[in-house]
Amino acid sequence: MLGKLVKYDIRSTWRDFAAVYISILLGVLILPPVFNHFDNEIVNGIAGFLGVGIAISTIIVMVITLFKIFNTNVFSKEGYLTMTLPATSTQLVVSKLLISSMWIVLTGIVSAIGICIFAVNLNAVPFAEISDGFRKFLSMIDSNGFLAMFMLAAAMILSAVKEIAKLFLACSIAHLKQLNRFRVPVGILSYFVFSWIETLIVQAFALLFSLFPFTEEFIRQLKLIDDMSSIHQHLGFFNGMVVVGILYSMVVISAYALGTIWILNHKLDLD
Amino acid sequence: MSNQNSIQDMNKTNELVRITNLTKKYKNKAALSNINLILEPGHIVGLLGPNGSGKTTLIKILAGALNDFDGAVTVNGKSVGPESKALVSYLPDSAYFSPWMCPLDMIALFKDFYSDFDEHKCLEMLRRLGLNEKQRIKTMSKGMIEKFQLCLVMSRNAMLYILDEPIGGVDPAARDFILDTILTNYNEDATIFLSTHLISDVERIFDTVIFLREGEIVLQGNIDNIRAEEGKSIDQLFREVFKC
Repeated sequence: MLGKLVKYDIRSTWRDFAAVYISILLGVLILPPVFNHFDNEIVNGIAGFLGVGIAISTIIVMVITLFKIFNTNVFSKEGYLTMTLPATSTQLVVSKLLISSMWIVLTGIVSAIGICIFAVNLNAVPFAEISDGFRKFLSMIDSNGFLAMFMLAAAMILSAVKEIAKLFLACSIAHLKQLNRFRVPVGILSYFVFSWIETLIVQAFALLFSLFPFTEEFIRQLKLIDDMSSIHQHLGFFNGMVVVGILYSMVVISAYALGTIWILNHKLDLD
Repeated sequence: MSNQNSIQDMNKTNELVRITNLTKKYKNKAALSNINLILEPGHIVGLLGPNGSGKTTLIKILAGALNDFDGAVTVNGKSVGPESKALVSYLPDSAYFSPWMCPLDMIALFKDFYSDFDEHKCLEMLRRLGLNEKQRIKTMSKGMIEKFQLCLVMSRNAMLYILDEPIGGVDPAARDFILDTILTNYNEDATIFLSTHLISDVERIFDTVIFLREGEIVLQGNIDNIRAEEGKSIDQLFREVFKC
């Protein structure tokens, strides 16, 4: 059943993301030649801003699209189809989180490619320099380095998925019948309350951690990996920190998902 | 095969749906109040009541679109959940399609999720209706969408068909078509649970009626017995019971 849900979630979302990706690619192909006509520092500066702007707006559009997918698919008229399928709420929520993860990864890849194309087309960075730099970077990394990079990428992806899971729970709370009249402010407030609670939890752990005798050594190690040029000498510690981040994200994603599932199982009341 | 075993189990207990002490409140108002109901297989049951009587609330609970209630609801002995949803074919009072879909997409979805879905039956019904299975649903008229949704629902060999106001908002010719489609395509060992406030059009198809007023069942029973006891049609009785 989960596989079928994933299949249909992909089918219902690919059009939105295809439009975003095509817009990015058109933007990075069309805009640079336009800017290249003007040999002007201000124009070049604007072009740089635009490049960053494209990346940021891509992230915003992705988040909004993922939120809409959950909100529309579960709580709008489409919910009468989704919530009456012979699937558990757990399967429905897990499917949407898996799809969200997939689109986060793909959007990241497309954005990175888009930025490279933008830079090359703008003649800001020659393509040969990019590919040389990339080859040098790869030659410097050994298998441990690849593992570290992979885990860092996983941590970043899970961190993004955590935000999406938080959005889903905030959306579910906003759709509680008792809060019908204040749906939008409740949804927004819930999101920020959860973010604040996360900060409090991290601060509480940090405070607890500071009571242990090995804290000084830990902070010393932390300062060492702050210097990126020597990070490969302290890869073990770095990987350990990344694993802690991954575990934290997974626990928090599970908590948000369980909250959403509980609401769908006990408080669902479609309009 | 699983449906056959389920029907055999059902016939032992003679209960398809059991609702016990069902109450649903919104703030201080009870949409449903202490409903107790048993539906047996092989009946066409009319859930009748004026607007706001609780018909849609009761139907949403049975279909699984509303989980926040007090009391117990089972379909074929199972609480409302994935197992009961696999046995229930539900037609809500409005369309639930995504705008990007065409009929073929929905047929593929139903075929994937419901083992009792008859694809050929659905396609045949579409063709008889003159609907193009590749036409985007967002380009269809309201009437076409409603008919297509009905085709999907009635193409399942479900144990319980729940139809929420299937003839509300359509013209009289379309109403006859919808009623005929329902009667000629449902699984006769199953039960149809149909809500409406347009009694005169559907009275002919029911064998059991339930009158709902302000969340409470005020009348329930075999339609012929009720007509004989009351000496009037269900439509006339409805107007009397729900007189403003």
